[in-house]
Amino acid sequence: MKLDESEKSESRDKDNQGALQDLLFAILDAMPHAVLGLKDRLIISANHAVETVFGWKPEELVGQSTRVLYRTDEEFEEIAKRFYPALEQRRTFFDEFPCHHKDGRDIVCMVGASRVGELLKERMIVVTYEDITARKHAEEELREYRGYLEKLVDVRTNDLKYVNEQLKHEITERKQAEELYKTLAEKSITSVFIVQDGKFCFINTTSIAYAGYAPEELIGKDSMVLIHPEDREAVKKRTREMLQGKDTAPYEYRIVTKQGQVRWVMQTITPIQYGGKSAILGNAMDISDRKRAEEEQNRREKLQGVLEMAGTVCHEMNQPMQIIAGYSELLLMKTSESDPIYKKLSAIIDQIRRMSTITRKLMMIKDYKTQDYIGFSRIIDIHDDSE
Amino acid sequence: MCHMPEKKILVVDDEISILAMLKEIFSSEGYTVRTAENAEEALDILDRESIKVMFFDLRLSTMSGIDLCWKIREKDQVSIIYAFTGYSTYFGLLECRAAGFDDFFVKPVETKLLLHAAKDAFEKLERWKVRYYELE
Repeated sequence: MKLDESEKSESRDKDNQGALQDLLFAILDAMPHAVLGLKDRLIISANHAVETVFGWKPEELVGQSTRVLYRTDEEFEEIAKRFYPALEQRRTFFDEFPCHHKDGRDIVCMVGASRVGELLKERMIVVTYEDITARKHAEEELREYRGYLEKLVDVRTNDLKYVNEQLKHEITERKQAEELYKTLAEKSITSVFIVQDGKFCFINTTSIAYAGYAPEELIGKDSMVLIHPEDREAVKKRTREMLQGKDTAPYEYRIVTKQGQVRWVMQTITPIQYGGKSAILGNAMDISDRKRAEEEQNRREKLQGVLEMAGTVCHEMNQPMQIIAGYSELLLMKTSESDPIYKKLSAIIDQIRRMSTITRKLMMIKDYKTQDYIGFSRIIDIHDDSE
Repeated sequence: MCHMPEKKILVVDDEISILAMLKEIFSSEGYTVRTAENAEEALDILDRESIKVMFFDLRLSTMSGIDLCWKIREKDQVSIIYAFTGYSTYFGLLECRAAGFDDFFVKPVETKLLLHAAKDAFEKLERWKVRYYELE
């Protein structure tokens, strides 16, 4: 049979159409996204990928309402409200939307819709569904992680700020404390000094003032240099005891000033770290005035004792002396000068008067000096003071 | 016959041997001597007898010689009263003068000085009696 030209052309067209449809189906099946053809929300075609995205086989879906693809009636209505008005304005519209898998899972899809033809006649559209659940989760996780990181950074930043503030504050406080201690040490009315390896390495102005030296004359010098030679051993002993914590009571000793004056000081010491090494912090006070007052007080008390003793001795001795003198004088008055007894009586009376002179001297004592006396420690020198 | 009036002396001391010795000294010069060992005894004697010359030790057992003198001076401004002490600073001269003592002797006192003091006291009393007071 011979075909005329028009028949040949028609047959060619039919062949071409069939090839195009095959190509179209091949493209649709090759797509990883579900592609549905809809007419007034009824599924009229579906590609193989609907099974991957929704779990439905294409043949199960064709003829059904798209309601099966959504979670609730409300959402089914909602997507229509969102898409159809948009598609009236333009050819394609894309939006994310929650969907429902056959096995009951909720999934999120990127929904893309294209209207078929120029007008949205009978609501003919082609819709593609790309399952983006995993991506959304990943994004969500990423967002959460970013939020967590941001929070962490905020917290760390705040921590750092706080630590920084604290440090600044501590530095200021430490500087103030250092300044305060420096002032305290320098301006203290007591002597403050530090001894390391037996040598002065700090000494305040008060110490300098009462020792009579310039600071450079003492810094680096042996700390024993100021101490009275007779007191050095005792000071060493007390220092050891104090450092060992055996005795914490302040101790007293003498120093010799640059001018050779002897002064009394009272001292306490504490072990410290200075420049990373063990050292001794000393705190001393000039107690020379107090010592003088104490000595004066002792002297007065001794004097008082002497005076009281003198009074008692005088009274006790004057009574018998009065009797001896009285009777002797009475006898002498009745004795003739030529009588040999006269001379003896006179001698007795003379001796009584001598004794009486001594007791009177004792009674007149207001101050006293002591005199070394062989065989005794000291005796009071009444001949010197009671004139 | 002209009768010389008795010259009486009161001696107060807490030590009996001193009292005995003074009694002998003053008696040897013709004075009548009364002795007391404490202030209470002395005041008793003065209540009973008129005695115008007295020697008191300052340290007595209960009331001191100073207090005794104060008490006598409340009523009697004329008698001659001598303090006689073993210890000069115990009661000083000033306290003795303030209490009304006429003089102040520190033991041991020379016998001559005691006799002189007694003699002087009676001479004074004699003068005062003539010029101003009836002292008997």
